[in-house]
Amino acid sequence: MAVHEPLTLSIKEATTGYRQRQIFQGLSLTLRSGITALLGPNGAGKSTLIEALATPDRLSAGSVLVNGKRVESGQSTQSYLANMGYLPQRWEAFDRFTPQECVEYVAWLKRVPKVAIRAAASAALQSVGLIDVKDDPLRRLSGGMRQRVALAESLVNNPTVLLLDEPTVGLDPEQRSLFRGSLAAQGNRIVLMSTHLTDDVQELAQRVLVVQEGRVLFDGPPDELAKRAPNTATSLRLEAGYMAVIHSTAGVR
Amino acid sequence: MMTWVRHSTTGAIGAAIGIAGVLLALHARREGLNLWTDYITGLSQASIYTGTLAAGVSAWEARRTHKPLVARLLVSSRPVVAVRVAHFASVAAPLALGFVIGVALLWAIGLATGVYGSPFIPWIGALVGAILAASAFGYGVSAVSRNQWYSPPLAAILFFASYVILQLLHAPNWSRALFPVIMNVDSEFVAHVSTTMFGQIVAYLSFVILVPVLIAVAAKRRRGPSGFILVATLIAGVGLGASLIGLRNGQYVTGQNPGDFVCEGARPQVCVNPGYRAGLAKLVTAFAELSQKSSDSDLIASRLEQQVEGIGDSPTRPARSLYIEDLSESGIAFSVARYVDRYGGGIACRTSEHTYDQHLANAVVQAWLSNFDELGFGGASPMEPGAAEFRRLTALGPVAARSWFGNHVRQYMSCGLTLADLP
Repeated sequence: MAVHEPLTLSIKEATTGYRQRQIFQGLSLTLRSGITALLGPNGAGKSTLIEALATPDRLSAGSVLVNGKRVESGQSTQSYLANMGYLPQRWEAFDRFTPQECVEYVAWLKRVPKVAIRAAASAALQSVGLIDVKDDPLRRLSGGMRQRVALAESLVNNPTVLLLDEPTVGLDPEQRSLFRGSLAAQGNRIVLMSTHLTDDVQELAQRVLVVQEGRVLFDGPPDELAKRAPNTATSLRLEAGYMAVIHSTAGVR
Repeated sequence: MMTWVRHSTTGAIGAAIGIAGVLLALHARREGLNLWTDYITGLSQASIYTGTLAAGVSAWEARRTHKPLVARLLVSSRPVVAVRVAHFASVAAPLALGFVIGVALLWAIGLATGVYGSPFIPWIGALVGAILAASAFGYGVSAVSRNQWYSPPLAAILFFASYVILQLLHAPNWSRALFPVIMNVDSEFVAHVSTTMFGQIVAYLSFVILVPVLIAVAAKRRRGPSGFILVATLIAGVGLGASLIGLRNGQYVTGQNPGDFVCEGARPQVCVNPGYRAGLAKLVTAFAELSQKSSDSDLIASRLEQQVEGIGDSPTRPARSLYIEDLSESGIAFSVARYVDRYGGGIACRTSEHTYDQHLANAVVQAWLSNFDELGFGGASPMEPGAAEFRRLTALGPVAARSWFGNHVRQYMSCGLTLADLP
């Protein structure tokens, strides 16, 4: 499946959350090609926003739009989901499967043509550096390898939109480096990646969104966020900028 | 789907179901007989165990794969109902396949051992449907109990307990036939009520699809009309199957003698279903002995035909009924005893008032005539009523015994003998 033409992915006037607790109310923003990092403290709504984009039919109110066209129930949702890859924060694995089988199953779910499933799965595993262990049982793989299997699952349909919820959490530095390498190659898509790690942002993102309590406090390039740091001499300018933003009261809606 | 099947626990359990089916079917063979109908009886009687197993393992598999499946279903671009049904199929298919392979193996064993007859295919179809329905039951119980650690044992226990309760409540036959456990007994002397079996197949298969569809529809936040239409159609399918079952009150077989006989012997001529041919010589010998003991009496007919029960059936005139349970030594003696009871003094003893002494004397003579000492006169203390008389009667030489019976045959036939009349 070829990557589609550059598109925009928008969420418009969206209200979403869990049961009684609505985290985002009337949220609107637009994502374009490239990696956008989503930063924010725990409970800020990062996962909620990513889930809202991953499952547009579960929004309480508002809509998700692809290139300005609303994703509605039925055919357009299925088409949207077929061109979207999603790595949830807690990736649940079929432990008896091999990486190849895991990825092939998702390919089937994403309607990759039957004849292309095997090749698509192999290509996805190749792109995350796991082709050598594709036939090993998943339970024998390290945490970092499993996380890369999860990334391969989200890539197998060659999606236009890639939504990654804290993909590097729990990885050791080497695994994180490998993972970032895999992800860096995906920059020609619309990638939204939530993270706690400003290192990830520094290395990968072209754009940063900082959210807190259902509000977008910052939307701009990493350099811009770094400039918000009160002390420009520090080596951790991006982190300092982020801290400055979440402690400020002025936000961007 | 093959990936699922390959990694599913149900593959091993499917094999176990197949093996259990074969073993129980072979175990159901009666001594000296090798009949497909006995295999079917064994397979049917296995269904409470295989069903319980299928329910438990399906709940296990549903629980084991629940979280990763649901996570992927959220972002699947295939219809959730289709994915759920495919998942259930991967759970249930190995179980049904194991059973079918077991039946095929049984077929091969039957061919190699010269089995008589052939299976009634709708019966096999109903048994396959029952295993699938038991699997759907377990899959559904797991979903309803929220895929907890206790869901698999709960599903198995619920399945087994539901069956036991249905039996204890003496629920109407049609409602018991709806439950996916088929414990009916097949025989060479029945006509199969295929309406019931087709009803079960329709009801079971509708239920089998209904369960995963309901789980998928219930999990959807936004439900379109297509889901409801599908659910309604499947419920209608269960209803249609239940109606078909109800049409014949869940009856599985009805008495019928195909009249297909092989015969041997002169007086009497003994005719049995070809599947019982192996016992023909022994039966001829046993009835010849009876004929000898009871010569010049009406006890023995010129022709005996194997029938359903030996009582209440209709052999071609002037033949009489012969009932056979198995072809062991005691089975042959039992056949003679059933014959003597049906055509000897037993009928008179049952149809009019007689003393205990007369009943006892009749029993002693019947035990002697048939060589089937059911009441244990031969092993009892001589002080026991009838024991000494039985021993004296069996100790008589053939000529003396025949002479004694000839002198007392009218009393015997009218249940008028007393212990004092016995030698």
